[in-house]
Amino acid sequence: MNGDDLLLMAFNLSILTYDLGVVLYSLPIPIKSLKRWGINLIIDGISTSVLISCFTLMLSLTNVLQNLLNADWSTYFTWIGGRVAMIFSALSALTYVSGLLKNPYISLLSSPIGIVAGYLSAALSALRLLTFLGSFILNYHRHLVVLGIVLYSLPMRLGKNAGAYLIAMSLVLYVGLPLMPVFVESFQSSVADHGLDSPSIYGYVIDLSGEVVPNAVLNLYRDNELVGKILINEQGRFTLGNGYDLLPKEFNYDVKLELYGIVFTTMPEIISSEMCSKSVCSLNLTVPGMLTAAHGRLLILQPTNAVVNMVRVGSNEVSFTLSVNYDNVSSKLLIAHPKGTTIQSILIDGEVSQCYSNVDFDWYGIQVSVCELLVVNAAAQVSIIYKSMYVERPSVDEKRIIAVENMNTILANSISLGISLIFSLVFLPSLYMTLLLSISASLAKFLGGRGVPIKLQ
Amino acid sequence: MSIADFVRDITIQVVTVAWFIFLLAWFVGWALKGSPIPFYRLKRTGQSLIEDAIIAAFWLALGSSIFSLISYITSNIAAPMPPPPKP
Repeated sequence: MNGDDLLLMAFNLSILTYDLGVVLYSLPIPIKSLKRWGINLIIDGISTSVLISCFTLMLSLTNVLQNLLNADWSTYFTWIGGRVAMIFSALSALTYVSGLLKNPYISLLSSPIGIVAGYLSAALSALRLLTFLGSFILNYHRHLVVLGIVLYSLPMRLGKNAGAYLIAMSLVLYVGLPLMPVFVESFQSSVADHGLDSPSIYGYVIDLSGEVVPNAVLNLYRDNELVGKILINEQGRFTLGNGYDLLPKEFNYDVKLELYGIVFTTMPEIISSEMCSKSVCSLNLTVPGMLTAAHGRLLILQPTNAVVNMVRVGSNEVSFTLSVNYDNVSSKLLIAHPKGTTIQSILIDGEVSQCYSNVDFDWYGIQVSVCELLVVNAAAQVSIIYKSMYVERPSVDEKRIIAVENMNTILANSISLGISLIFSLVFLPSLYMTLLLSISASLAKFLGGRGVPIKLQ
Repeated sequence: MSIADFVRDITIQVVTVAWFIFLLAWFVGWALKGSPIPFYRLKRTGQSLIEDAIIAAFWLALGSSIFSLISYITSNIAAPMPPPPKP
C-alpha cells in the first residue's frame, strides 16, 4: 500500500466520519451531547478532507520555507560528520594520554580524563541519534505525514491528537533540523581555546653524510640529570610532546645521542623552548661524529684526529676518504654493528684489512660488535663491504618528559574542554530539539490536535 | 478486499443506516408531536427531533457535494504553486 492508497483510505475514513456524524445527529434520542458529538464528527470529516486535499500543498510549503531559510540537508550531515570525527580524535587522544599516565605524580589526572571520555561517549551517542533522526526525517517525512493524516482521519477522534502531532512534527523537523548547525554554531564558544597548550617538537636525526639515523636513543639532560630517554623511530624521526610528553612552558635540555652503546654530541647540543616559538615546530639534529649505513645498522665513528669526506653509501658497501690531521700519523677507526649485520671485508687503499681488536657487548637487548682498525696513511680510501640480514630494534624503556608543574593547567583545561564539548555537542542540540518539538506541539494544536474526546452527559 | 474497499463498504452501509435513521427520527418526531398527550416538553422534543432529522438529511444529501467542493477548491489552490526561491 503506497502513499496514494493511504491518502485515498484517509479520504474514505473522513467520509465515514462525516456520515457517522450525520447518523448520530439524526438519532431519535434527545441527548444534547450526542447531537454535539454528531456535529463535531461532521466538522472533523470536513476538516480531515481539507487536510487530505492540502497534502501536496503542505509539502510544497515546507520546501519553500526550507529554501527561504537556506536550510540544507547535506550541510547538516557534513556538520555532524565533522563533529563525530572531532570526538573520535579527542577520544583517541584521551585514550592514548590515559595510557601514558603511569607516572605516580600525574596518575590523578586519569580520573578527570575518564570523566571527559565518558562525556565524549555520551556526545557521540547524541550525534549518532541526530544522524539517525536526520536520515529518518529526510527519507520518510512524506510517509510520516501520510500516516499522520490516516490517524487524524480515524472516526470518533481515535487518533486525532497523535495524527496532528505526527504531521506537525514531520513538517517542523523537515524544515528545522537542517538549521541545527546554524543554531549551535551561533551559540557555542570556541572549543579550540581550551586545548592543552603544551609545545611539540619533532624532527630527524641526521649523520654526517645526511642520512637519517633510525633506532637510536636520544637522551635529554637537565642539570646533568637524565630527564628523558626517547627512542628514535624506524624512519629516524623523534617526537617530543604531541601527546607523548608534557613539556613545560620553558625548558632547556642538553641532548646526547646514543647508538650501539656509543654516545654522540649533536648539533644543536641543546633543545630549548626558545627554539620553538609556535606550539608545533620542527628541529633536525645533526650528528657530525657519526656515519651510518644499512639504515643505521652499521655505524662508523669519525676519529677525533681525522676527517671523513667523500662518503658513498651503496646497498652493501660504504666508502669514504679518511684524512688524518696534519700533526698525526695514524688514526683509530671504530666500526660498530649489531649481530644482524656482518662485515665481509674492509679495504684500506685497496688492501684488505682486519680488525686488530673486537669487542662484543649487549646494548638494550642487541648484541653489538665493535671492530677497531688502525689507519696509518695520511689520506686513506676506506671501503667496507657488509651484509645486513635483519633489523634489530633496541628494547628501551622510554622515559618521557612530564612537567608536573603543568598539571593544574591541564586539569582545568581538560575539564573546561569537556564542559565546552558537552555544551556544544549535547546541550545546544538538545535545546534546539526541544524548541522544534515545542513548535511541533503548537502546530499540532493549530491542526486540531487539542480536540478532546466527546463525553456523554 | 483492501482496507480502502472495506472502509468504502462500511461508508455505504452507514449512509443507508443514516437514511433509515432519518426516516425513523422523522416518524418518531411526528409521533411525539402528534401524540394526544398534553405535555409541552414531549411535543417540544418531537419538534426538535423533526428539525434534527431534516438538518441531518440535508447534510447527508449535501455530503458528496461538500467533499467534491473541498477537493475542487484545494486542487485549484495547490495547482499553480510557484517554484521555490533559490538562495
